[in-house]
Amino acid sequence: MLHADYAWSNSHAGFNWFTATQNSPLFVELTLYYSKFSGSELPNSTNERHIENKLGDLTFKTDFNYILNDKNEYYGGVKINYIKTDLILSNSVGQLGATVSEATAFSSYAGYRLSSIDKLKADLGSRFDILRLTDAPSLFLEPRVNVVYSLLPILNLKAGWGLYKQELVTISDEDEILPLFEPWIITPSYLKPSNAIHYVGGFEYYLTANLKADVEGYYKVEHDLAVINDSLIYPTDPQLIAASAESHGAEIALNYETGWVYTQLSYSYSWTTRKVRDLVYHPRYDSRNDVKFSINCDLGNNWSASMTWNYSSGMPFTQILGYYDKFNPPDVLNPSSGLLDYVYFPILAGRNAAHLPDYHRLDMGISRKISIGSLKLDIDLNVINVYDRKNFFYFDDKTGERVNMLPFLPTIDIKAEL
Amino acid sequence: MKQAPRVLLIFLFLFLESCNSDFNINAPQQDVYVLNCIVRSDTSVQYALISRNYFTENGTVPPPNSIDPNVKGATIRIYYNDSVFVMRDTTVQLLDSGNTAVVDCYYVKNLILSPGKVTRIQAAIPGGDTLISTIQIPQISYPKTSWTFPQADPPPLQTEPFLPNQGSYSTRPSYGWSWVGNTLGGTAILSLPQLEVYYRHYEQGSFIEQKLLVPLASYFTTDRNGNLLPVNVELSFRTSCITLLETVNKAMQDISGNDPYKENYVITKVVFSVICLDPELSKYYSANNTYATDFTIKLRQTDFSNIVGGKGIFGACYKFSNPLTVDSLYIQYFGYRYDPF
Repeated sequence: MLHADYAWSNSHAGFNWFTATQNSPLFVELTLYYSKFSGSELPNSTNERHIENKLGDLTFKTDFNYILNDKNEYYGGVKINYIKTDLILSNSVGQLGATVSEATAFSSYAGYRLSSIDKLKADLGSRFDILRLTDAPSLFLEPRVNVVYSLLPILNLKAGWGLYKQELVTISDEDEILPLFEPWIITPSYLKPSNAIHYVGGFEYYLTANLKADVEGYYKVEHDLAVINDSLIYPTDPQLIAASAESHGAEIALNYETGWVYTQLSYSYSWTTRKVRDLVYHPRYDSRNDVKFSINCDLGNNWSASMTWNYSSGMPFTQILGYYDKFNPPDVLNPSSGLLDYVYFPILAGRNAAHLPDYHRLDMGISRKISIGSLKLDIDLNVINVYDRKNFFYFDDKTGERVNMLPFLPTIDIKAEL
Repeated sequence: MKQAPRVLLIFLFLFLESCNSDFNINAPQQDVYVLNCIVRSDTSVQYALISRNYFTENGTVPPPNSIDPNVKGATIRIYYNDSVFVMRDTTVQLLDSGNTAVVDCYYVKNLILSPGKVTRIQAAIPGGDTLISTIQIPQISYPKTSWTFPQADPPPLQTEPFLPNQGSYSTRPSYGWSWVGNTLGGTAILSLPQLEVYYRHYEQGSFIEQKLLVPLASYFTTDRNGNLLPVNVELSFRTSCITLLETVNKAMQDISGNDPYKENYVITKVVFSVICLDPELSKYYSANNTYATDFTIKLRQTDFSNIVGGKGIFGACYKFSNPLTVDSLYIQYFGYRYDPF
């Protein structure tokens, strides 16, 4: 049986220059990088549509920090990035159409970091958009505040607030049962860029000198999220419409650190709902519970070992209520079309009302550093998915086949450095 | 205390075992009924189909013609113009791509549509489910149109057969028609205009009734040399069409072609018609067609339905026909006769 092919590729090249002059309180960092993402779904003579997406990002940014005598600090920077997205789609008769968007954004940021007061640390700053990727009106200022207050030597209270904006978005068809491909696009000019308000609060508590607990809660509201128009009827209807979202959650992390071992155990709980028109549902990436456990050990003699275990409760997806014969006439004016022109069509159950299987995986690794003259070698032996958990990847509705993620997989990496 | 790691491992094993690893693409089974009924003005016999959803193992796409989902035994009533029409079960045989297809459906006779009438369908499914839908038969009006053939403004005064020119008949772009859909709430409707020339051809001792469609354009574009290129009409939301006088002349000549016996052709009538879909069927057809022809990010067509309690479509297709006042001298120019009776 024929299958569609999926292909992804990423490439990245960058340059970073950091300067810190002796006796000067000014630190400057310059960064220039280019990254390219390419993804495609090739139908291979199946009924799938051809989808191809390319994203190019050329960014230049400079960051500076100026540290005052009292330890307080000014910081800021500018960022220029040129973004180009290509989205090539086919229609149902196989014709290809391309939408190319390119734009340059110019933004800057500035802030003040307060460190001179013993019990209080604060960071006040804002981003300023001078030239945006989209023409639509949006936020010019994106202010952010973070405050840490040491109530006790072993207890720090934390709080944060900020406004955020995003002009480059991924598009996910939530009506698709399990999509593999989510293209990147610049928010079209008929929509405002998505923006969010974040509220964060929590505390750090030192249980012992080596054991620290981090507890944090958050609440986030998002507006003008670009989502696929699920009621596309007329040719003039917009492809994307604005949605809103609300999320909250909490994370507890225990960090244990001695001279030779670092361990972290964390649990996070999150809850997200999205509202499109009057429909409220959990978006695809709303995994309710996540657990992460990791140990990194320095075994001495240039040996080190690591172990990571991740658990995520199953993500939401949309089941089907079977299929039905849908009236789909090529020529509705043909008098017999009402009796003959039918194609099977899936009936979607509640949007994202079911959950995929839980995900968990154990990875282990051991590494050794070897020096031979000026040659430095890093040799890593890693085992992915140690107990061969069959984690769900995607489902092929043509064959009913469930495709799983990586099985038990040992790998060896050797890195040489001169 | 020495047992602690072992107990921890047992708990971890039990936790991992309890993790949900089942995956079922199919939701718990639930009946969904589908009603499809397109009432038409070109017939007095109207048909409807009722079917139900069906599940396949692992949610795989069903093999072609493997499942007959049609539902029999339903009671379908159409409420129209203060009357109730009850549809009956039947089986019809139709030719489908060269093969005979047998379709279980429902029908009713003597249901003749009138523009603007609100029509309701109600289907009672065995088992208690009810499907309901209401539509308005399309109606249109013509704000400013000349009803002569060829179209004239003002009508010419001639005594000899002639081929019209710019001096006597409209050429372009005013050679055209426009119409307005008068629907509830002003919802857009899909329509297709046609210019039909009906004629009789005397052949082997008898007359054969025939019809010719004159090409109409939604609009014209021009090529590099400034020549007009027609974009032919199709079922669309456009509410006007145009043509060229030379196109009409060419169509008239094509009626007889190279046949030297022009007098064997009798033009009986010329009709400008507009075939309209009601707003609900327009939405349904547009949703399907927009997905089929456009380069959409959406991976699945919008599953529009106007059936309350189920899926499918209840729609109407109405053909508005406007006989044109034919200039007999124009017909005679081609050597044909004009006989409207």
